[in-house]
Amino acid sequence: MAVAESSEKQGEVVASLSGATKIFGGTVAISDVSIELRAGEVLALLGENGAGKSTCVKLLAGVYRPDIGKVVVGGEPVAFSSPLQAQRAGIAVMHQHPGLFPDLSVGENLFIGQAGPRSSWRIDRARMRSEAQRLLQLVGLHADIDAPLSRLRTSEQQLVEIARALSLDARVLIMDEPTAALSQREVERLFAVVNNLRGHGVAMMFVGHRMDEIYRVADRIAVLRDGHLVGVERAQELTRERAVQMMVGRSLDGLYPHHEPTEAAVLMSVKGLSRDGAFEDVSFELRAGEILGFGGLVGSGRTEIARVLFGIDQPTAGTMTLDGADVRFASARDAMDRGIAYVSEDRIGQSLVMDFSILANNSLTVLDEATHGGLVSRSNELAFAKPFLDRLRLRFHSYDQPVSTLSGGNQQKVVLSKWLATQPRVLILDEPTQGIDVQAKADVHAMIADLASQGLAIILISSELPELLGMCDRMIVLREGRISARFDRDEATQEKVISAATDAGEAERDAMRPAVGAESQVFTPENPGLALPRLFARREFGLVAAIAAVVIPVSILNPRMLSGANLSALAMDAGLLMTVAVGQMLVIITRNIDLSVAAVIGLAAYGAASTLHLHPELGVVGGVLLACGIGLLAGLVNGFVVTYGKVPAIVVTLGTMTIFRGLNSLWAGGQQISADQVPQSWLDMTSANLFGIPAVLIIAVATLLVIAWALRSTVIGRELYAIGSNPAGAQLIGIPVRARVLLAFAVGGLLAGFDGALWASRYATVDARVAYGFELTVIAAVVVGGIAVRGGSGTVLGVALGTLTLLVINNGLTLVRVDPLWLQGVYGLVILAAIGIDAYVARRGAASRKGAH
Amino acid sequence: MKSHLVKSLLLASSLVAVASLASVASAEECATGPVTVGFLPKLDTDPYFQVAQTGAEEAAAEIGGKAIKQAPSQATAEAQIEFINNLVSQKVGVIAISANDANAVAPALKRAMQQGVKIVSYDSDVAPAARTVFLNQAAGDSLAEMMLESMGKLIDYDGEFAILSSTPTATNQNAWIDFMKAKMAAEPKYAKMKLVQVAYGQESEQVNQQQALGLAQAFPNLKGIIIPAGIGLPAAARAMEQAGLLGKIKLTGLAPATLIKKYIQDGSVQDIWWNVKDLGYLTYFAAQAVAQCKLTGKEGETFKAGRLGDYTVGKGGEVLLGPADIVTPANVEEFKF
Amino acid sequence: MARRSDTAPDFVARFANWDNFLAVLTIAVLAYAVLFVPNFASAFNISQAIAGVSERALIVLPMVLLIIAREIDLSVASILALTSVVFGLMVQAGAPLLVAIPLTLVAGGLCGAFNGVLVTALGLPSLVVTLGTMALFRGIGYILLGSGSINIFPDSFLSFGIDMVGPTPLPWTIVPFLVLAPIFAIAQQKMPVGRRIYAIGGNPDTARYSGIRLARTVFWLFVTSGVVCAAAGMVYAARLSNARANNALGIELDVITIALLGGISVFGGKGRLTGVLWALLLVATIRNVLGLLQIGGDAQGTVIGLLLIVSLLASNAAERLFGSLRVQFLSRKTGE
Repeated sequence: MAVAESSEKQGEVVASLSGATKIFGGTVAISDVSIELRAGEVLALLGENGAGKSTCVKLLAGVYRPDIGKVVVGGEPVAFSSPLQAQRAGIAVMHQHPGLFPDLSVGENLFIGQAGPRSSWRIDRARMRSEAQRLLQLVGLHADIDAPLSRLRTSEQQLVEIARALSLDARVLIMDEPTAALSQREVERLFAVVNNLRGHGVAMMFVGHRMDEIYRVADRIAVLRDGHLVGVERAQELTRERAVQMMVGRSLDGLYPHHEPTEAAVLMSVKGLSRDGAFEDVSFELRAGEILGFGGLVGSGRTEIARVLFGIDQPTAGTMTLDGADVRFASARDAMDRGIAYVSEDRIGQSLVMDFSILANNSLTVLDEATHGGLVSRSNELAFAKPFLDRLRLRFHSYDQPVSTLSGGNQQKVVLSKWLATQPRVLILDEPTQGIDVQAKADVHAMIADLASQGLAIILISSELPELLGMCDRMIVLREGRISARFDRDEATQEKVISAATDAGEAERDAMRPAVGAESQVFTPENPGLALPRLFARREFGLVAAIAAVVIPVSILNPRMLSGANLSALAMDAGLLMTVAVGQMLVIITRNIDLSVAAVIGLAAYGAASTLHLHPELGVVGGVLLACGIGLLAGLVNGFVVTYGKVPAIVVTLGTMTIFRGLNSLWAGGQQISADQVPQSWLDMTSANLFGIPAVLIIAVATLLVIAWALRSTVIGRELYAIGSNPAGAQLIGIPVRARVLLAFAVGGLLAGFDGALWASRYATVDARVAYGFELTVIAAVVVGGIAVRGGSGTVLGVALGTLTLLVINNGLTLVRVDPLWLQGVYGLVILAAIGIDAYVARRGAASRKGAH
Repeated sequence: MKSHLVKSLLLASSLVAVASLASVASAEECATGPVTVGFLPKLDTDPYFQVAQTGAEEAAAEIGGKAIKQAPSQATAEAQIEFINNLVSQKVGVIAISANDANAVAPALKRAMQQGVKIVSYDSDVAPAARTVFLNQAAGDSLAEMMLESMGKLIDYDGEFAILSSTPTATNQNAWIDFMKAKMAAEPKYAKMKLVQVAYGQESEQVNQQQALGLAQAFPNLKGIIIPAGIGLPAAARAMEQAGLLGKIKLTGLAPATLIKKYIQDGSVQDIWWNVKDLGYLTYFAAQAVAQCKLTGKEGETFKAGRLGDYTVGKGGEVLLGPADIVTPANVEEFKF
Repeated sequence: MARRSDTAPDFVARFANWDNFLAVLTIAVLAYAVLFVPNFASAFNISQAIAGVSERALIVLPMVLLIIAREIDLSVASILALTSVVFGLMVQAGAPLLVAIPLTLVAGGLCGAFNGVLVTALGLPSLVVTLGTMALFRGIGYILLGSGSINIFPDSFLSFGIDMVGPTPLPWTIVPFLVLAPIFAIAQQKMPVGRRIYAIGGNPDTARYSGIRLARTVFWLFVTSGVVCAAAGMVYAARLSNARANNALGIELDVITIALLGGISVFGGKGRLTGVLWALLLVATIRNVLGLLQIGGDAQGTVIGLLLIVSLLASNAAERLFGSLRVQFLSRKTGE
């Protein structure tokens, strides 16, 4: 790791949180937490889910700022306005969910976004490669540096995240659950690195759940509970039992409603249920009126089991029976029809539509039942909502207020009500009280107990031990996809559960057996040497094949296809289309689109021609510059409204398309600029030939080469890809997204303007209708060329080939005397074929990379 | 939401009520003096119609009244219908239209007539029931024959040729093409000439160039192209020149002389043309005569058109400007457009 | 604790929103037109202006639903053209109207189904799929009819296209829209399917987890779009007595502009039909007024384009302002 030999002495405090408090909405995440990170030392942060660990990480990483208290680095209080600033201050973070860029290569992911005094605008590939090799070796990752990140398994991607953090010149290294997806061997590697860094005086923080790992790596351990710092002690002096006690240390008395276990018949039973990459061999029974708890760490497979029970995912082995009969759910709807309800742990992402009102959210599951005469009846909706919301004691202003205005606890009540309205027989609750206040929790618990006593079978997934122990009649504990323990209410204790969930009590560790949560080792990576050219070969090769498939038969039927005149005309058309298509590519890479290109071409063409007509002394150069200027201005207008006005690109460019056309029409006032009204030199610009190749094509190819180089070898170029690949991630690591997108639009506009000059020169007579409808041809060329509309990927070669494919098909069909009107239909088929193939290839790629994400 | 629905319904019905109160013009009305004539060309960017308009304005200066022009941005019937309605709303006396599609605009024109607006057509006709007179630049069959004859002479009456027209529904071009086909079938001297394809240049420089080139490529034995579309002939000439085929493939057709001057002078292209400005001039006079009920489209009627003299209405309400000329290097300078 | 007033609809939601803003703007423009633009307020002008938007008005109805569901359909104009060609061919072949009309609707439905299958079963992005089918469908139209046109239609059909309803200046061609618009509005706001569409647009994951069948709903949306476009195709053929493969070139962007102007969010999940109706009225009025002022064709687009962009910029700003106001207002009320 490129670490300046630390000036810190061993043990000196490098960074710390001092009295930090952070509040989100109404919830206090952490309160008055002070922890110190010392040079050459690892501080482990322990705590249950929701104890506040990730908040501490994010405060130090610069993602949030504390509401009270400070972040202190090198003795000075700092206020990070962005993660980039934290990075510059010398803090490196290994995130739990890496915000990496699937479309960029492994090597690029290591270094993207690291703008600093050292780096230049160019990418030094050689240096990058050697650095990347070194880093990958350090973490023990064998991967092709040039392969796109998306081809790596999740565990490998985690290693890239680790390597990335190590590549920074960091005084402070924060590791947030870095081992969650790793195999034992990889974990060993990581610890070796940690030891190395320790020797270099780096201050480190390690957030984790596996006691074994924590005790191996930590010098000191800080324990958080409910947002408060319970204590910090030296690892050697802290026994595991006491650590656990500090983590959970609450008494259980009187907090949970009394609930009698039932002796009813078995309602649902599960045998040997497995899902590859998620969980294995899970069996249990569920009776009506009982509450069965699922304990275990995050990622141990509990939610995955629930999703299979609810029909969202399909099991790969095992059986489920309901009322004694085997069942198989193909969708959530199936499961719901059989009386199963699932309250997701992701309240905002999977349980609520934030824009909907309380009432509308409540009715989402019972829409058909809440109707009267085919129309949704408000009184019916209220009948579904009122009972449960009242029982849960929802605090709200009106049934029509959007749920986004409710606190977390009240939102959860709406979610519960929504599911209870379906009158389920089996209710699966996934972290139902996560992130909600105490009062709401109590209301929810009361409701759960009530429901059980009325005969509902309940599965309660919870990471909160008191809740598990207080509410459940029985519980099973999962660890890394397998059931590690079963307890009845009487025999369970917090310590036992935590032991079963982690490996705190494990005497042996099967070092070679991979966690089921990590990828199945059946997958063998392709030989990296062959993979790259093979993938490359797919898209571009397919286009070349398509072109050949048209050229060869057509040339046989009509040899004129390969004649000089035809090729020359084809070349000119290609030059004109490629120039503007590559500009469109830049915009699409960033996950935007520009529908106004054709209108810009028209405006620039007319502008240049008409100005030259009035002022022929401007000459060819003047005309071209003017056209480029018009294009640039148009691109900037588009760019500004998209980036700073925050209006989606498709809307903006739809508007500017009509505006620019209209301006063109007004400027032209119905006039034409005909060939004899402009200087001959202007017209000659495009009829020039260089060794028989039209100048237009040469100019276009030169432009494409420049852009290809810029995209590949400059930092800005790679950043464009990053923005399209993962916009939020790009923002987070400090890429100036707005400026880059503005640049993309500006360059796109400039190229369109330039194309306008070429167009006016080639087609000589210019009016307000130049290039009408051309934008769809441009987008078609880009799409056929393999540039994904969702952004983040695509090559200049693809654009060139896509252009050629379309034009060759056009030309070929004309030459075999196919009615030119039929061309439209063919174009449509070509576009559909292109995206169909893309989708097919993508699906094959995903399927071959089986595993949890 | 309900309130919005109610509000918009109220608004709509109040508008309708207001409009119903507005008086409806009576169907038959003869103007007593010069009226406003609304010219409605095929396309706003075609210079042909700009020049014709100058003729109309000259006529307006002479006898009074006003000549306005509104043109669509797309050479389609749909676009023209919108302008027909606009002109009627602006209460012009006469609409002079050069139609993109003879039948499609007919209902709108009939509606206009119901509102008391008179209709004449120029350059490109509409369904005869929808207009009073049609001002044609030259007799359709005469133009067709001239073009065919011109092409015949260029290729020695032997070989393949193609036609590059404007839009597929353009009345005038289609009429000429039909005449040409009939003539070829009827007269033996054209027996060895073969029409291989009719292509469409869509009144666009780019499309015309591409189509011309495409014809040359698709038919290796092509000897000539007839281009009865003003924008098309110069465009095709440019395309052929760029491809080096200018002498090999002969071009002839109808085009503004000034735009094709270069190619006329070096003999590679032939052109048949007329004085466009005069067409506009004539149309204006005819329109005023129709507005004042002095002209009803019956065969044999006559009227005076200023400096151009007297004109007689022919069959089917058609008025001919006069014979067209062949543009040669000798007389090319005489044509101002 | 719930209070008595809480079952009544939320006042704040009704007060300051896009629909009202559009309504005010539209009425202002209309008032200006009636008062200051000569010849605007004649029966003829108004009836023709209304007739001119008959097809756009029809097509915008399903388009709104699609955009709310986070999809888009660029092929609407092509389906219109293709189905008008199909209809024309059937009539030309002698089929009676009672047979030709339903069959044409079926043809439109098939086109929509094609789109729907590509988007739902193959999971392709609707923007690109409908870009392709936009070219494909019109191309099929050209293959069927070439560049010709069919102009001969039964008189009853043509009088539908030309006549007004009784003594009013309301053309018959707008009647299909007037019949369908309330149905769509009710379906959107009051029926379960409407809720599902809003849910899919608001949060597709939540919709799926709540048991809503996404693929099926989206598929039928595309089919509906196809059927409505077929109806629009017949209205077009009647109005212009013309069935051609290049009918209605370019109106898809017009329709999308109207939808977006009407407050339908391009991100999905938001927007109401009433706003779109105002936008339709506004755009038709502006175009008509500009035409009367002798500004034509493409130049009119300048105004419409500016209107679209400025309105969205303004609405972004307003959203931020009102959003924060509402949160403050409500959280104070509930004491959160």
